[in-house]
Amino acid sequence: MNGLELFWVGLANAFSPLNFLMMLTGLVIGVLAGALPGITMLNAIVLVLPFTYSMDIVPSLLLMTAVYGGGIFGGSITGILFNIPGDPMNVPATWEGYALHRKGHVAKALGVAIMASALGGFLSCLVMTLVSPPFARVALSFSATEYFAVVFLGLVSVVVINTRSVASSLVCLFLGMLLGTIGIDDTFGSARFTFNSRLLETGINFTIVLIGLFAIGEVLEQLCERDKIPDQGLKERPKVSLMTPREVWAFKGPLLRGFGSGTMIGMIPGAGATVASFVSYGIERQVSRKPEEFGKGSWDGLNATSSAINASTGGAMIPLLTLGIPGSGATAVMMGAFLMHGIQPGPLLFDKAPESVYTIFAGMLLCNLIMIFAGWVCSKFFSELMRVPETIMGAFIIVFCFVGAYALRNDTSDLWYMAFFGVLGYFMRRYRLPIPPLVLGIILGPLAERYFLTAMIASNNDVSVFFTRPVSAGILLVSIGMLFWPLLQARMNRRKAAAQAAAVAGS
Amino acid sequence: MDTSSDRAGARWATLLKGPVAVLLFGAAVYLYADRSIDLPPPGQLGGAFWPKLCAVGMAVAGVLKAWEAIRARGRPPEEGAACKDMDNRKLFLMILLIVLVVPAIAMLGFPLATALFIGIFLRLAGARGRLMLPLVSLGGTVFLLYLFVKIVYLPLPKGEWFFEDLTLTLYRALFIL
Repeated sequence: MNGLELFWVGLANAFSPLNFLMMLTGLVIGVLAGALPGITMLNAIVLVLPFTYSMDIVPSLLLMTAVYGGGIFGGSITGILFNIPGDPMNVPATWEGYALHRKGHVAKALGVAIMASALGGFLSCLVMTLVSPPFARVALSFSATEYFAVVFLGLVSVVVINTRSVASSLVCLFLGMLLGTIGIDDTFGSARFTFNSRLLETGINFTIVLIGLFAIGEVLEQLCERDKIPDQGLKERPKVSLMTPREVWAFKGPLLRGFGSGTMIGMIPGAGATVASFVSYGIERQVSRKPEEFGKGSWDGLNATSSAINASTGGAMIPLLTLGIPGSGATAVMMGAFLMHGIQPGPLLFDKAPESVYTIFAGMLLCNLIMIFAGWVCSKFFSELMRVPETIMGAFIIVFCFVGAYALRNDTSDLWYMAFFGVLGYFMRRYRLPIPPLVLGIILGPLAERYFLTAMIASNNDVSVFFTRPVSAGILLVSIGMLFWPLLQARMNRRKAAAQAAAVAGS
Repeated sequence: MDTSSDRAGARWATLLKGPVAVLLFGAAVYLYADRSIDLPPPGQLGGAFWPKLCAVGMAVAGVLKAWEAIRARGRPPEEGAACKDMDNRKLFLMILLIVLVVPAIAMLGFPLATALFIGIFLRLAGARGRLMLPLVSLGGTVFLLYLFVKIVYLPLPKGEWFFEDLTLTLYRALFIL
């Protein structure tokens, strides 16, 4: 059978009652788990793993891929509604989505996030279905130098994220990177900034930092503001307003750029949806016609980052299915499911069980379409939570945060980190220090260190290795371009203004 | 007597105290990392390299911040740059409550600590109503127990000594165990 015939067979299999039920169940579990702070998409995939023991590999994989896609998107719901991103990857969507919510566009923001995520995911699954083998070959040739270049690109995006003060962003970014070094070093095994404390030796989990900084700081600010005007947006019962085809067409640029960067970055093992989300946001900020709207509620930013996070799912499945290399935590769990069923993912899978492979392809495509419905229903459910008084909501958000922090390692000492970062988050807001660069630093800093040191060990400390390999050189040049673009843009604007002033004076 | 040079000095101190603190923090971290982290294996960068690089980056960011502050002096503040007017007493008490609930969860167990936390937090946040506070705190705690212990099988802290027995009794009474 050729590819198209296999695809039709796969599509028919995906519509079988069990497979369809698994997709629907997985999407609902994923969206809800992604939306609850402290319960990540990865937690949800691990939680459903035991339920797949008694199933065949195809429904198992469909259940897990549905949780994966739904979980990645789900974090945007609480981000838009409550300024609490479910996962680090939902942070840029939260910046724009919550700002749009504050402007009274909550229904549209939710609709845009759903549609952009579904479209990004659908298109990336199409790419996965059509061109997975050649793309996987490219990813296979990547070494630590290329990984470092990609992570560096993510770190550089911090400069373009905050237009108010580049220096404040850098201070917070480096503080985050320093916090990321606390604990036992991965490469050399040295204890760093541990002060002989068991609590510090294990390092700081970035999920705890993220929940504390965003959630607790926000609750304190909301509840302790004096003479606060009641927020009308919180009292409304918003609808989820999906994008019309005309609106989709109007935002084709951000959607396609988000899909492109998300799919490409998703294919790179280790990079994943978080890097894709920040990189696509940074790129969009650069090319947007309305860059001044970023951080204040940009539709372009929300479209691009929502499209990118779900586009990374199709990308991440490519090396897993074609080469047997899991590109992310989620795909590593799926590889575990394959191995549990006695199947080795890789090129031979396409010869031995092509129908199963194409059922997974078709199922993932379908999942992204069903996600529009699942996301719509779940968003409406979460919108109902907005009718609860702010005080009650605040108390429960803090309790959820404590449970989320505790659940990571079942260790009450993590609650101290939670409280510390919660209070820090409040004071950073109060003194107008940007929180996102700190979060970016603590997530990407350890990855950058690992890849940088690995590349250095492999090249005998020769820094030129980053510029002699074409892919890393290309990505680093783009990063350097992004770094200096705001300066060049300001200079060009000044020249333009001076030329206009001279023209006015001359006339 | 207050002279113009004193006033100028005070203005500079206000302007540069933040950036100088960042610069000094970066320098202190660099020195601490240099002295406290193990020496690298021969020919390798070692575990101290990355924290030292971050510390240098932080110090440079401090210098940039100072440059930004000097360039911005005299300009009118940006829209929304002023700090919000906060109820500092309420804020202090809420922070204290958030800090105190950490040892309370470990000692009293999740159910009791959570019920107390929700009740006190709601009261501090301004919620009123004789029935509403116990209803929300107790009802909410029971809901969370069912969700996390019964459905998700999350072993939430049970507390110590007498409180562990109390938590287990509560779990049995609620058919969670």
